[in-house]
Amino acid sequence: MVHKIVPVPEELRSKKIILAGEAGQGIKLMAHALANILAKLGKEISLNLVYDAAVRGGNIHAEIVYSDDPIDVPFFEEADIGLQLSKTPDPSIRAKLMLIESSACGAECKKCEIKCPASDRVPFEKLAIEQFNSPIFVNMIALGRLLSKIGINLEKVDFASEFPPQFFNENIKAIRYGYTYKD
Amino acid sequence: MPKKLLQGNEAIAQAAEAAGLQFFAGYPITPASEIIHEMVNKKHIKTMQMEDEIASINAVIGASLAGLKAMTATSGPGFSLMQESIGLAHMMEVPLVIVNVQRVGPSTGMPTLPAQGDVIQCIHGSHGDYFPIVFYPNSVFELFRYTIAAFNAAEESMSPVILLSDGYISHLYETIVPHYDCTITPRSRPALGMGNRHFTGLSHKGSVLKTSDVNNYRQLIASFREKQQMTAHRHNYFEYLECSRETDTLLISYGALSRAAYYFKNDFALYRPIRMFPAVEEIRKIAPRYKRIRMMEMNTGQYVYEIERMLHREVEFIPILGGRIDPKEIKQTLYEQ
Repeated sequence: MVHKIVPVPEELRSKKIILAGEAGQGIKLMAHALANILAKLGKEISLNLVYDAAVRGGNIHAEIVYSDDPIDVPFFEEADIGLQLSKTPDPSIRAKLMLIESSACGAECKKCEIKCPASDRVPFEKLAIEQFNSPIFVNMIALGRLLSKIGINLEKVDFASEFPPQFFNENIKAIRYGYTYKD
Repeated sequence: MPKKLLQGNEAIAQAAEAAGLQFFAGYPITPASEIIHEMVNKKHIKTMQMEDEIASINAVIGASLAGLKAMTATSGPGFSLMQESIGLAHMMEVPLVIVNVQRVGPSTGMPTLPAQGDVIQCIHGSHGDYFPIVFYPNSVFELFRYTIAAFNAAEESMSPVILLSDGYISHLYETIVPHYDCTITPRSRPALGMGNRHFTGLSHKGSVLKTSDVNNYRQLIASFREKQQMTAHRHNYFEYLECSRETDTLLISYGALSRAAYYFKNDFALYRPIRMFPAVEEIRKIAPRYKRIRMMEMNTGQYVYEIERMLHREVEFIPILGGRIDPKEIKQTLYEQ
């Protein structure tokens, strides 16, 4: 019996997101939450996590593609939107719109090697400490910011199935804060 | 059935359960560890973490002889350790499934990065002549689908079947509907106590040793090959995408790298073997339509020899090494040469 697979359709409406940071910043949790949120909204998803074999520390980045159609190519050269939380940003992370932890970049563009033609500098860490008394909320503020940038209506998102009960309310507050944050 | 966001290794574990897996033995190793992590949570599957991969494959052989559907999962370093017992399992005609999630080698290499360096080891890793069936899917859904096919093929051929994956596909999360449209082949070998109790790696006929009977050995090897061929015909999996534009080039790839090849589907015709061994015959009919045949692999050239052997013509080889699949880099290589 010959099984010939039907070609997958063109990915006409796919969007690509890249999240980058250091171990311990919650990139993996944020990537899973974002991917699950988009999947539950009916999108096709591919999520690839890239990290080293280090026992502790190191950099991590997550590549997400979401689309209304099946995704044939999960790789991309440049994301539509990126998030860079690392204090020592990886210049190979490329996005058309980059959200950057401002302490890594400063208030003004330093013309570094990061390819960010339309960057958005946000003091994620400072906001987490000032508003939520802990830097661990950096990823949730950033997640809120990302959801806002990609146009997801928070009221349609079922957060209860995404996060553990511990710190649930604080996490939701941080997401909402990031979602509505203005300089 | 609702869509699920599932990791490749999770899909393998779920499919194994659906295929009737009863016993799993393994030793954790990146990038295959999630398979054993999933197994320990499955109530109906007896899971044992062994002291190493040699013990794992032998526990799986024992469980299969005792009448259970059995599987192990590892990566390159563990797969190397299993080779002697894989030969034994072929000689004893033991149905089982071995998952090899490939990473960059040789030796411990680059544990978190994908590679395709164990392809030839699947058929020539153990000594002597034996004829494994090998599948290599390229997506999370295919990992689900072809894990079930691997269990079926193992029971139909009464031999170990290898499911190849790589660090990219196995760690990739994709939305899939985990369903299967095939029937599950029931357990083929009778359990100990009901069937033959004498199993040996020596040349044999039934339970009788035939260590210097030349004709018997020839018949034994011929029967192994026949079983493999007959089973393989029922699992003839490949993908061929004709180019929407006129092209004289066929681009061959498999596994994770074939996902990057889709990027070039408007410029080249694409061919992807899913059943790696025995190689799918259809390539002999497809290849003559193209003047130029190019092949990409994440090794220094392994399956390309199999393709050249089948086609009796030269194939341009493009190695993609070091665990990085970068469409930009691949594009440069493809269009500059």
